Amino acid sequence: MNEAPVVIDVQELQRVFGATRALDGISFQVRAGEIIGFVGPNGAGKTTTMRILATLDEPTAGDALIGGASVVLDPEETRRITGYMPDALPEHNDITVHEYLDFFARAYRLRGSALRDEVQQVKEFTHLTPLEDKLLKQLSKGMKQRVSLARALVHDPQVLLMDEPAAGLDPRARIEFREQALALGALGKALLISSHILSELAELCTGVVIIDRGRIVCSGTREEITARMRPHATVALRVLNDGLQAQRIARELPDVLAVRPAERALQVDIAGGDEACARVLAALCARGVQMAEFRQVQNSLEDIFMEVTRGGMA
Amino acid sequence: MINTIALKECRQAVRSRLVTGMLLFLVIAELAACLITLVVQAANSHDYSLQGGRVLFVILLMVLTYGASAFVPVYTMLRLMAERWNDSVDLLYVTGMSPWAIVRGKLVSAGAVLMLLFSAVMPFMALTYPLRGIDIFSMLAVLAFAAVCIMLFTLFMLLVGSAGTTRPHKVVNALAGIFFALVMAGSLTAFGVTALEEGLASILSQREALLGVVMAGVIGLALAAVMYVATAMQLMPPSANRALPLRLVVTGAIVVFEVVALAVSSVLGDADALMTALRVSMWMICISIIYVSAAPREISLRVRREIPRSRIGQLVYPLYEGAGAGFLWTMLLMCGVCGSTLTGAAIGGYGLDDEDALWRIVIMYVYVLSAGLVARSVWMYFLPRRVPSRYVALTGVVVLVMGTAAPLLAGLWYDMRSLPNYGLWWYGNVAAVFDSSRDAVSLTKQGLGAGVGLAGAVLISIPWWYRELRAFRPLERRHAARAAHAAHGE
Repeated sequence: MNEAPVVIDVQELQRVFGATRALDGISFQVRAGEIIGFVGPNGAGKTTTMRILATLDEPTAGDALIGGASVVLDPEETRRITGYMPDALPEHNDITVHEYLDFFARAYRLRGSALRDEVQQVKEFTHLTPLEDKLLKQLSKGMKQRVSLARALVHDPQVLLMDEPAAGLDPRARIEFREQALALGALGKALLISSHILSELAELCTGVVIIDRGRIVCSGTREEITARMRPHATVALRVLNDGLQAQRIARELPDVLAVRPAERALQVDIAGGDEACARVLAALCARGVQMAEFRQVQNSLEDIFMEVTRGGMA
Repeated sequence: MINTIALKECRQAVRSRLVTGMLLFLVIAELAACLITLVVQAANSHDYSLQGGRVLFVILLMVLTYGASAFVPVYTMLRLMAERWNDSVDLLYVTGMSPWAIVRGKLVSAGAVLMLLFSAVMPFMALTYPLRGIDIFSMLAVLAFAAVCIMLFTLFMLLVGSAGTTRPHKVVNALAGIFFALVMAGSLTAFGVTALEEGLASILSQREALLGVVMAGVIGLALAAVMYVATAMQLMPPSANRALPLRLVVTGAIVVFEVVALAVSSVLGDADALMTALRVSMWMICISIIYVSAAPREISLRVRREIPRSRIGQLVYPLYEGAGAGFLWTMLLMCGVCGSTLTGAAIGGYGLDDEDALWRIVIMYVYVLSAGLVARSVWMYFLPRRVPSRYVALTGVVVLVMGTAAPLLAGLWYDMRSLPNYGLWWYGNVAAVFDSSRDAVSLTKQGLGAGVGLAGAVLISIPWWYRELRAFRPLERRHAARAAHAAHGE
C-alpha cells in the first residue's frame, strides 16, 4: 500500500462545451513519487483534464486539488507547485536556451542566486548546458522537448503535467526522456503523463488511468487492472513433441479453463494463481509433455487499452 | 525591479534582424536627407533666409516619424501575436506573471526600441540647431509629442494584436497598422511644421488653446488607460473576470472627462467642453456595448468566487462579467453622463448651443443598445451553443445595418409607388442621427423609432436577463472546505 501523500486529487470533474460533455465526473488520485500514464483515445478528454489541472481551463462542476489547493478557488497556489509541459514545443524567435529558461524562472518570481542555481540545475538535469547559447529555432525536436521539460522544471514543482511529451521523438530522445522521467519520480515528484505511445508508458509508469468519452474506464497499476479484467492466469507453453496431444492433455486438467494454439506454442488459461500454475506444470510433466518453455503471459498496456476501450481508438 | 517580459523582449530585439535593419535604414535615410537638403540649400545660397535648420529639422522629423510610426507599433504587435499564436500565452498563464505585467513589458520594450531609433537620428537632429531657425524647446517638444503619439499608437496596436491569433489576422492587422501609422506620421509632421512656424510658446499662451491641450491630454490619457486595461483583459485566461477591470477603467475615464469638462466649461463660460466630453463618452459607451454583448454565456466559477456575499456588496452586479450586467452598466453610465451635462449647463447658467445634439447622442446610444440586446437574444435563443460569444458583436452590427436598411428600403418602396411614405426612413436610420440639417419632426421620429426598438429589445431579453441575475451568486465554499480538509488530512 502506497503511503505517500496524495498530491493530485481529481474529484468528480465535469467539463461541458456547449452540447458536448468532454468530462463526465472523473475522479482519480496521484501520490507523490508516482508516474501515472493518462491514456485514452482521441477526444476522450485527456487534454481537457490536463488543461484544467494546469488552471488553463476551469471545470463546469467538480474540483481538483493539487497539493491541497483547489484549481478553481486557488489557481495561483496550484500554479506555484505545478509544472506544465504542453504538447506544443517552444518556438520563440531570437532567444537562446539560457535566456528562455532565465525568462521563465523570472516569470516564476525567482531572483538572484536562487534563479541562477535553479536554471543551472535544470540545464544540467536535462543535458542542455552544451546548448545554452543556441537559439531555440536552431534546435531539433528532441532538443526542444528537453527545453520544454527544463522550462516545466525550472521552479522545482511538486507535480508535473506532461501532455504527449514523447510524440515525434526519435528512439534516443525517447530513452533519454524515459530516464529523466524515472529520475523525477525517484525525487518524489508526481508525474501525470498523457500519451498515445503505450509501449513507452508501460516501461515508465507505476500506474495508469484510462479515460474514454469523458469517463474513467479503469485505473490502477497494470497488475491490478489485469487482475480485475481477468481473474485467471494465462501461460504460454512451447512443446517439443506433438502439439495436438499436448493440447488434448492440457484440456483434461481440472485447473485449465481454456487452451488456444498460438504461434509455435499454446496459450493456456488457468483458474487460480501461482499454485494452480505449478499444479498444471507438474501434471503436464507427469503425462510426458516435453516443454521447452512455460511462462506466465503479462497483458501489455496496449491489450488492456484495447480491451477497456473496446477497440474504440480513433 | 526589471519587468521580465521587457527583459526578454529587449534581448530578442537586440538579436532581431528587423530591428537592426530598421536602425540601419533610418540612419542611412537621415544621412541621405541631410546631405540632399544641405546640397540643395547650398545651391540656392542666394535665397539664404536663416531658416535652414527648421527646414532640415522638418525633413528629418518626417523621416523619423514615418519610419518609427510604421515600425515600432507593428513590430510590437507582431511579437505579441506570435506569442499568442504559439501557445506561449498558455505558458505565461501557468506562471505567476500577470497580464498587466505582460502588457507593461511589451510597452517598455517598445519604448526601448523607439528610443533606440530616436537616439540613432539625434546627431542629425542636433545638426539643425547651428543651422538656425529653430529653438531647443520647440525641437524637444515636437520630438516628445511624436514619441508620445507613437507609444499611444503602439498601445492601440497591442490591443488589436491581443484579439487575434491567426495568420490572416496578422497580415490584416499589420497592413492596417502600417496604413494608419503613415496617416498619423503625416499628421505629426504637419503638427511639427505648425508648431515650429507659429512657435509653441505663443500657441500655448492663448487660454483657449491651453485648455484645449489640457482637454486633449486628459482624453488621451484616459484612452491610454482604457486601451491598456483592455489589452491586459484580452490576455487574461478566459475564465478570469475580464469585465470588472475594463468596466472600472471606462467608468473612471468618463468620470474624469466630466470633471475636467465641467472645470473647462466654467472657465470658458460655455458648454462646448461638456458636449465634447459627452460625445467622447457616448462613443466609449457604444464601443463598450460591443464588448458587453459578447460576454460569456455563464459566469465562470473563478468570477463567482469573487462575488461579495452581502446583499449590499452585490449591488456591484453591473460591474461584473455578464451581458445583462454590462448592458445595465452602460445604461447607468449614459444616464450619469447626460445628467451631468444638463446639470453642469444649468448650474453654469449657459445653455447647450445645439439643444438637439444631446438628444441625437441619446438616440444613437439607444440604437446601439437595442442592436446589442437583439444580437445577444438571437445568440442565446437561436444560435447553436457551439457558436462563440464573440460573434454576438458581429450580429449586433448586422442588426444595426438591418435596422437602418429596412425602413429606408420600405420608404423608397412607398416612394416608387407614389404612396405617402410617412418619413419611414427616419425611424431606424442610424446614419441619419447626426444629420443636423433635419427638422424637429424627423428627430422625433428617430426618437420614436429608437424607443420602440429598445422596448422590444428589452422585452425579448428579459428571460436570459432573469437567468443571469439568478446565476449571480457567490461560489459555495464547500470547494474551499474540501481543499482545507485534504490539505490537513494528508
